[in-house]
Amino acid sequence: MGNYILRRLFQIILTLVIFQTLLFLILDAQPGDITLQYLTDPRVTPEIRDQMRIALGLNKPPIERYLQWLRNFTTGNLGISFSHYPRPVLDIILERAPRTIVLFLTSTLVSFFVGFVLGKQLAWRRGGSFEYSMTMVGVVLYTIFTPWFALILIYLLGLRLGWLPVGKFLDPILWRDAPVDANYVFARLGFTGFVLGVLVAFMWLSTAGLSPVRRRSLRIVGLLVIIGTPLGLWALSDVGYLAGDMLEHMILPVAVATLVSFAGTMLMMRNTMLETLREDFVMASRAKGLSEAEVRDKHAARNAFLPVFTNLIISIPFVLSGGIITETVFSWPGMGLTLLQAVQNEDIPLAMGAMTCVGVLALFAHLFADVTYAFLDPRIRYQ
Amino acid sequence: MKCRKIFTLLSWGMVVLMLCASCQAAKETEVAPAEAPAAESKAEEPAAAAPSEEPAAEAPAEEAAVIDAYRIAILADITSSNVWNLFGPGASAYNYVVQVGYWPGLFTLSDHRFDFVPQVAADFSSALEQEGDLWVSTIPLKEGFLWSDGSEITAADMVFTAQVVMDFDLSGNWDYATSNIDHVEAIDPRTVKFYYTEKPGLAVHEYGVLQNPIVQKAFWEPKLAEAYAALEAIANFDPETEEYLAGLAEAQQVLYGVEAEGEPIYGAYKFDKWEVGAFVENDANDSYFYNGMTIEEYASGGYHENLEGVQDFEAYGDVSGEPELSYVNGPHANSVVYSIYSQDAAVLALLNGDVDYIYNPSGYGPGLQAQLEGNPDVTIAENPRNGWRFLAFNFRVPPLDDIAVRQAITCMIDKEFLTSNILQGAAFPAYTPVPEGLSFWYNPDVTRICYGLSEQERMVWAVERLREAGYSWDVEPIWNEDRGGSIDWGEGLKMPDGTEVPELLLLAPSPGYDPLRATSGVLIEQWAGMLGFPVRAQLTNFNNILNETLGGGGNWDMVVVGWNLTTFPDHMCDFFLEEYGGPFAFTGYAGEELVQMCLEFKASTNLEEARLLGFKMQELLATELAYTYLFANPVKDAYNLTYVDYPFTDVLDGIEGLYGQQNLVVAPE
Amino acid sequence: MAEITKSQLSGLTEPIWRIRLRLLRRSFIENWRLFREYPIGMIGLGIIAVFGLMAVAHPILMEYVWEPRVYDPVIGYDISILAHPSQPSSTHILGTDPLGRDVLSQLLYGTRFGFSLGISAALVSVIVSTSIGALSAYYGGIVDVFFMRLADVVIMLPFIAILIVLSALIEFNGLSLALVYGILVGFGGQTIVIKSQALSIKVKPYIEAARAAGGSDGHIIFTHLIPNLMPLSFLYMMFTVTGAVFAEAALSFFGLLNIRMSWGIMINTAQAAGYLLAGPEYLHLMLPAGLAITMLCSSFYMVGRALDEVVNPRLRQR
Repeated sequence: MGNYILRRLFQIILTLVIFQTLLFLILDAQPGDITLQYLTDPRVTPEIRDQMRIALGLNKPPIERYLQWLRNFTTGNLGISFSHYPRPVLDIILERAPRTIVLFLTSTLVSFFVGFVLGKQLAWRRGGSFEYSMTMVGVVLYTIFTPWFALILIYLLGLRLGWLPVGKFLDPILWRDAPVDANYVFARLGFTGFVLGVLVAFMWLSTAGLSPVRRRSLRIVGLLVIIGTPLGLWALSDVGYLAGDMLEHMILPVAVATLVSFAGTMLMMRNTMLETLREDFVMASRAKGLSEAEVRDKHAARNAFLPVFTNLIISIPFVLSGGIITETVFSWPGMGLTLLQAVQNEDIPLAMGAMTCVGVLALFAHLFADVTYAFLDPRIRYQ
Repeated sequence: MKCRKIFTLLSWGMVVLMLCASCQAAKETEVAPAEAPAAESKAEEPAAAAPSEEPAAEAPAEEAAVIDAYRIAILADITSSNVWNLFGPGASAYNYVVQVGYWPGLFTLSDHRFDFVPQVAADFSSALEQEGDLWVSTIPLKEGFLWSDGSEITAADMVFTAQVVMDFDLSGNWDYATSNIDHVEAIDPRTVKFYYTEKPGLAVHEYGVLQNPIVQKAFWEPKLAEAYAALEAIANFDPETEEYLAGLAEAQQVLYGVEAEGEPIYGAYKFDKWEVGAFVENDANDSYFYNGMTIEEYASGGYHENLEGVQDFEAYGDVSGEPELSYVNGPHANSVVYSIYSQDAAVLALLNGDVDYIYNPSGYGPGLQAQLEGNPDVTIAENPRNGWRFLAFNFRVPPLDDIAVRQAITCMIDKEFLTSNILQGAAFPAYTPVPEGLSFWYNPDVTRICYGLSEQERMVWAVERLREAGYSWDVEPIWNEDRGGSIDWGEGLKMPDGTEVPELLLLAPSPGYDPLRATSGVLIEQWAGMLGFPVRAQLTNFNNILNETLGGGGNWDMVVVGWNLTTFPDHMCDFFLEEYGGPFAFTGYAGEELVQMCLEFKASTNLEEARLLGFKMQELLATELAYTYLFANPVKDAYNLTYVDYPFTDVLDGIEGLYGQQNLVVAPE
Repeated sequence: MAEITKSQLSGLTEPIWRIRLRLLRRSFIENWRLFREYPIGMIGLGIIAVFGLMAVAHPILMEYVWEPRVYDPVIGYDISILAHPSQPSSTHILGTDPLGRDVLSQLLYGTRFGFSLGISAALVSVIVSTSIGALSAYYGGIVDVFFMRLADVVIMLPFIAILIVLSALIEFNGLSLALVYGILVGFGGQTIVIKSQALSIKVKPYIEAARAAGGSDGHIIFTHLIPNLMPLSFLYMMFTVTGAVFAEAALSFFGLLNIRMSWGIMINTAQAAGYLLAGPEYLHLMLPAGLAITMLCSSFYMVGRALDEVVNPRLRQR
């Protein structure tokens, strides 16, 4: 096992270097550079532009800049952003990442949960009108043109009915005199959300073996306790009203991100579940005389869970960049919007930094998924 | 079974962890309110406190109503708050709207008519005199002009600012380093003297150096030690070498990176809070020099500043009788809140009364405008813009260097049809390099080629013009009466030397960037095509256009672009003559006549003389057509007058040009 | 050893291609029968057929019914209507856009564009992924390691972001976008799936038999491996069409494509002019294009899902 991990780590480093090289090539091959923007200012003479290029290191040949970048990267220095000159890239990423993580971790977890439960039902009720209608709805939502969908929801819920705030992530008037800044609340919200997710998952799994009647009541109580405790604590704290404001602003984007992605998990869960249902041990458990619900939840679903869960782990890093569309439509100042702006402004260090973060996370998530798989599934053995 | 126990244990562990985290959150915030007492009362309010009720709630019982917060929607975040960076590489519309008022200049332009008036200066500068090899100008400073920390703004601040700019060779909107200044000297705390190596014209002196920002020496001097150390490290290198330039860039980077928190400023508002990606807040500065000062404008051209016992200044004409316009300087609001929205969301916020004004340099499309007009609380002010979109020709590519070709193509462009029909009135036709709104400089009588002609007449004129110049066709374009009348396209257009006109590449921004320019580009392709010019419109990324034109790429024949302009119209020279405009003179046009006029214009120190020259230059450019000016779209400002009011809204470049009139905005009556 | 010809080997007198054709036909009929059992796939096919008709209708209408000056999707302009955008009317069934162009004409033109974009992207991706998947599986070793690492890298790329970057680099038109998108998909996840399928085919007895009979590598790959990968490749083509159409719309929505007309451009035009949230009276600017993108994406995805049931034996009901 240790050997395997070592080998994978080596591969990760290799992959990372290829990834960086590709990224750098693509970004650097863009026509012109960021100093083009200054051309629109008549006071910027060619000499001044040259001076700026020197300041940004753009006068050096690409290969030198590339090596410099790799050197800096190994020391954890992602360089200086061009468009936020002279702010360090890492600074900007650390500032934006929590906002994205809170938003998309929530929606990823919710859509995973919804997808898992629905997928299970789809496989179980195969061939019925429930399956067909649900699949239709799922597929349409999964392939819907996201910005369009988001705008329709904004129009209906935000504008026509006025139920939810439109755009942004907080209400400036409320936050003017706030004792803390937004990232303070974001970080804590994110942590709470993460703990909540883990707790709910543990609770769900640990009660899965009980009889359906006891299980249901236990789960309801558990959910109430797990969700109620932090809610109460937040309400009691001095920044509760700020967190509330943020949560209110989060509803629409989370709803959109969830609705357009849950079908992915749902359809995958359906397929893996169908495959498991053909396995012998499911037949055996049926033959044992277990109730249908028990066969479904205890045997089939649990075994089908693994590949779906792996998929979740692998998809989590994309939380950081996957939200380009959602973040743009909702003017949510997270990583996606930052990446889009960086790319549009030819802010190479910022774009590289943001995408590298995603890349590193993605690689480690792959590794993590593989290793968990090996631990959880006795059929897989690594040499 | 064992498994479940572990889960249960883990679950409880998590609960405990979470409790700790929440406690910590509560504990940390307990300390904070001491610094911000307002928060305590806030915390008890429900989270969904209606924001729209607040502005009126805190109005104190003073004689004039004070706005609690002037709420401006901005469409992008600020990126820097370091003054050196801000007027250099960090210059952006949104950085300016929040911060440009922080720093004073010796002189400034008045808010409404853009009169050149003293700010820190007590009076106008002395005429330029020669002292030895140098040209000098002496300027007296006002008394009692304070920084927000209560200290006085002195000549030493002025000299310090200029020195830093020159030492670090700063550029962008800093003019000291690039304007042939030899040095700046403080004669005494209230007199400053500029030394130039060459005699500066209006554009360099009055409309350049004298309007540059001034920073406080006492605050900045100790903060710049590190930057100066970086600068000293390169003192031994030759200024031309790469090492020197790289070292200089490094020193500049240190300078731009200095934290400027708590910097004393002078303007009506000072920095209070920045929530990245959400909003910025500025607070009123009570020591603002102009606070409570009445400004009057008179029909005679007279300008009058008056505040009992502080200031009484007049210029530019008679100031007796009834003023045309009179307003009182603020700050009349306790704070200004700049919230970041996307354009659509900003419009919704304005309609809901969540913001008072949208600072929106990108303008409103017809759809947004329709929504805004449908709301009785919202007003749209329309003002002329100091800027235009135009069609540029590449003079290095025959036959575009031929005036006949440019005139023929220009004739075919029906600007009135384009603006009123296709663009649905979103823009006005333009004929001269000076926009109509700049009324002092605008020449209304320039030649307008093919103005008012029908499509058929335009074609006839253009064909005639080309034929005169020796052009010929395989198939001449003709007017076809069928189907309501249309032009049968000319084919095989040949230049006077008999060679065929090559395919001409017309660049225009893609519809996503600017639908007005994209549409014009496609239409010009059609119109020129009717005459037989094989024009191919390529809608492309704006960066590509910059790269090919100003960037020197050269792969273009015609291009539709647009610029905003400065109030001093020396752009008539900068756009065409390389010695002034550098990369801006990208068309390759070099009219002898224009060169002569520009020499005079740039050297002129007399406004009236410069104006007459400007008129002649406009006429020349309108017939030579180095550019074909297409249209200017007006500046449209949308505001909600429920909580705020403006002393005036009719001004060149609109409220937008004044960054929302933050120092003038008042509570409605 | 003397060369053994194929017919000698199989001992048949009928030409081999005819047998193949017959087998193909039989498997097609069999698969079609299976496919028809899934209503989702049939609904998808129905929608695709409607779009197909729409795509064909545009050039016909432009040639015989619509006057180009008025109805051209890019430079048309109806002078007889004073204010644009205008509401749906008898002359303009879906009204006109803010620049005075007929929305229906744009929609039909956009269908053609979307179809050709999606299908070319799918073709590119399938050629790339099938050949690489087959080669990696067949040869293994360094070829395999290289392409699989490359696939890992490509999977890591945020597609939309990369396309945005590339849009600054390449002047994207429909064809080049299809090419780039197809290559990105082809080198990425699709390769991995196809390769694992190829691995399972590679160990089948008939491959062994072919090799024992002295069939060259190329022969085995092209006549045995790839044909057996085709059903799976075909399935992934459906998903690629969905992805490509979506990507084009998203890029156009951000204003990053330099094409003159597409569904994405239609939405972008409505947005740039500020009609996105302007209310129900401007629905004709937003709804047709948005629905069309969603429906086309969904329909191909549905067909893909149904094909999955056919191709993946472990999902079959019986």
